[in-house]
Amino acid sequence: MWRYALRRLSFLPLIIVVVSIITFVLLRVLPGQDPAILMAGQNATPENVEAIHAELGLDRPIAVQYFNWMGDVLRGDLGTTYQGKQDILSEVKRRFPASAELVVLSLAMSAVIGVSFGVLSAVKRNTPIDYAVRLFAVAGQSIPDFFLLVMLIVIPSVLWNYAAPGGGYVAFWDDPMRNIRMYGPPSIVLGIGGAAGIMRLQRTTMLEVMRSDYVRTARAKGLSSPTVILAHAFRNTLAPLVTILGTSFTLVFAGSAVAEVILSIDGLGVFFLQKALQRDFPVVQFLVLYTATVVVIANLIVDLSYAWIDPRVQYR
Amino acid sequence: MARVWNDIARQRITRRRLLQGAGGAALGAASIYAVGCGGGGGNGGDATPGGSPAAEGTPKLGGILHSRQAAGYPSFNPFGPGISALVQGLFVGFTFYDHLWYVPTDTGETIPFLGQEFEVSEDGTQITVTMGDAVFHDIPPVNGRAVLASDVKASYERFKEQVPFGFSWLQQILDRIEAPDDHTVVFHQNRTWAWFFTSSNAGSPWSSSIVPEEIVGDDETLSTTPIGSGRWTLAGHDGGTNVRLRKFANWREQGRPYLDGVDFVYLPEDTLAIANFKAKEIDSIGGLNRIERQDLEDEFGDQIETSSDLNRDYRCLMLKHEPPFDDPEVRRGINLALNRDELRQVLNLGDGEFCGPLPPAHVKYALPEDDPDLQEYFRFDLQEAKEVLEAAGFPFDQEFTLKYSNFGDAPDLADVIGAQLRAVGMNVNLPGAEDLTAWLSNTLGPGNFQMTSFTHLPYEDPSLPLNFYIEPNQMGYADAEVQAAFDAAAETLEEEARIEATREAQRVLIRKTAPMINLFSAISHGARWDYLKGTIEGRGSFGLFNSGAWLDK
Repeated sequence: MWRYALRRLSFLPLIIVVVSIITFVLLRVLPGQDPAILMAGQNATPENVEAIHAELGLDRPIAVQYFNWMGDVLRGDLGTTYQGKQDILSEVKRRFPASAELVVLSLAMSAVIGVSFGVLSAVKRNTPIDYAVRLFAVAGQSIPDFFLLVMLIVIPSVLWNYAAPGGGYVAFWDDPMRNIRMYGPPSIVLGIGGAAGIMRLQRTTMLEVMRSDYVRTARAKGLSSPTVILAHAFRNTLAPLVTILGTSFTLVFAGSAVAEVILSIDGLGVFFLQKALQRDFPVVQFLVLYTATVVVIANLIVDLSYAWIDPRVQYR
Repeated sequence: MARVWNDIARQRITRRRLLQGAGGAALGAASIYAVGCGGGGGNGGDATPGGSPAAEGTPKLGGILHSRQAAGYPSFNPFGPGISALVQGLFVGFTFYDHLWYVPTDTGETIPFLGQEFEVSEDGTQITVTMGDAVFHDIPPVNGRAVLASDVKASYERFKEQVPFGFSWLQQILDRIEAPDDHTVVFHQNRTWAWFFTSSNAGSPWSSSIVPEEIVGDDETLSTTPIGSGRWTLAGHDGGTNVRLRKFANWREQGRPYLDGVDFVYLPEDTLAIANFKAKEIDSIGGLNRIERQDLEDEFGDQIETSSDLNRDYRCLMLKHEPPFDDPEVRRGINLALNRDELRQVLNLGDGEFCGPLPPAHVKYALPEDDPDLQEYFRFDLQEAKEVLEAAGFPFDQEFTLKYSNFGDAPDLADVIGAQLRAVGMNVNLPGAEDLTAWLSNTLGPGNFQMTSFTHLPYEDPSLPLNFYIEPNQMGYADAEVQAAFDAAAETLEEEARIEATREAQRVLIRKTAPMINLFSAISHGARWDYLKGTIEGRGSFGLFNSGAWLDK
């Protein structure tokens, strides 16, 4: 398995290089993308713009710019933002915990809600509980996250004059209640969106497994229903579940940026959006790279987990 | 211009974002609440002329005000770069830095800050200012030393050297500045310029911030460590958001501010900000529309105080001065086709006042509402508009592009204007919103448009709105009569005569239907919890300098 993992990881640099080159070139060749014009202000002269080009190194050939930038990134120097000269690495470090917590919590919510409701729906097939869960799943897939997130602000405000506290990131161990108030509700909302797909898949897979001979055998042995479901049936539904969790991760990752904007969470998603609008190349380049890396690693973890779930899976 | 952009984004998400990022944040920063934090009005609503906070009992010292921050600051450098100077420059101007004076728009009277005495030469070209005593914040390398005239000189010189936006006084009128001794500053203008006291800070407290001489050229320090002599010091922030201010104990006005500090809560989205106000996570909120204000009043009754403010900013349609828009009759036809009432209704629920060449918030200098010329300027007559355009030989088969930014309600403004111009038969194309910074740099700045619509900043200098018609301008418009009328106002030192000269200049612009057609100024609303007292409301940016706010809880 380790050889497989290493082989997969060996593709990571190639993916990163390809993604970074595409991003790098697109940012520079698309029309209306010159950050120097934006930075120079309203009364800028061509000389002002050229001076900014020179200062930012944008007057050099693209290939030179790329290698300079990539060299700096590999040395851990992400540079500074064009507007405001903020240290990008510091900004990423500062914003990372909020974004990471949102993504991890949302994914956990997706898994917990999706799996538990999916199993329940399968076990209680064709009962009102099953219908309710399926309706919930369809609704969860149909209603866009941004609407639910806005409702997350509006409904508590209208009903109880409640608002989640704003302000900077507060770690769970520093102030558990504040942390939960800040990140719990949006995680549930994002989790519901991701849970819908998991729920439907879990139900289908579970129903299939429940019809298997070994489940019938387990029941014939006189095992209790919970034991049959959890110990025998459930484990065999995990492989497709993990696959869809990998997909959900990507969705939640993207959805968290929307949540950050709507709920004023000062995370990486907001940072990316702001800087993309300002044509702040170094930030956009790095965050695209970061996203690609995270997604590749997440997919690798999903692939590797198959062996743990199903011992029959062999990695070559 | 305290809330620069305030109403640009009026009442919609971005309105508060950028503005409160700048002035709005300053709003609270100044601990002022200033209802109308949305708009920067000069005189409207239930303003309290004179500026004294209402008598609300004996102020209690201490406490932290929680205020909204609608935008993050890339840095704290008042000099930029680019558009960020406008955003953060205003914020730091209201908070960390002091100024020589300030001129509230509603009264037009110069209020001394650090400047104590002012002497204007007979020809109005030389202004001598005697400064009072003040010290800078106790931060290295300045370490709490006294503020000197040389600091003022160095600050103005850097602002003059680095003006990213078109504030012409610094570039075109200010000749030089001298500091003959530690307490005397002499401004030399290269011509008589009666607007000195408003123009010299660009109609805002931004380019008049007094920065210590030893760091005035040190962008790194300026970006991270604001060291001024203003009433607040920087206690902390999260990368430019959630800024925390603390009282400067040695501020020149002893005993003030009453508050210990202001904690900003980063809330760029309007809905979330209102929810936070209702939940008392923040103590005040501005930039509400009428319905939002009414909802709060209905729900909270006497627990909150509300007010409204006529904004100084104003919406306009700018035409490039080239065929066919270089024909005054074509412009007159277009003006007749613009239904200001509909614009006001669609964009601001009917709240606002029509705007002539000078926004109505400049009460002293704007043409009175019942002025016949102004009434004619505001007249909407679609049939007559068609006839005027036809008589002028307007090319109805030619397509014209109306450009606009994505900022605030600019897309809505362009949409309504486009529909109104199509109604008169014009072939108007709306190409889609440009990002604000791109629109500023690529469209408005270089005059790269046929038509563009936007909301002007809430200028506090009455000469600025008129200056847009003076060469050089983005429209490429030049008119000797307009220039002469503008110069006459600028060169008239006696106030009453200048008021009349300024009004005459507006009449000239109206008669010529100059190619920037102004539409309306909005009214915005605000609310605060009743425990927040000592605020100044309805006086636009002046409220931001109030250090008398206090918390009765």
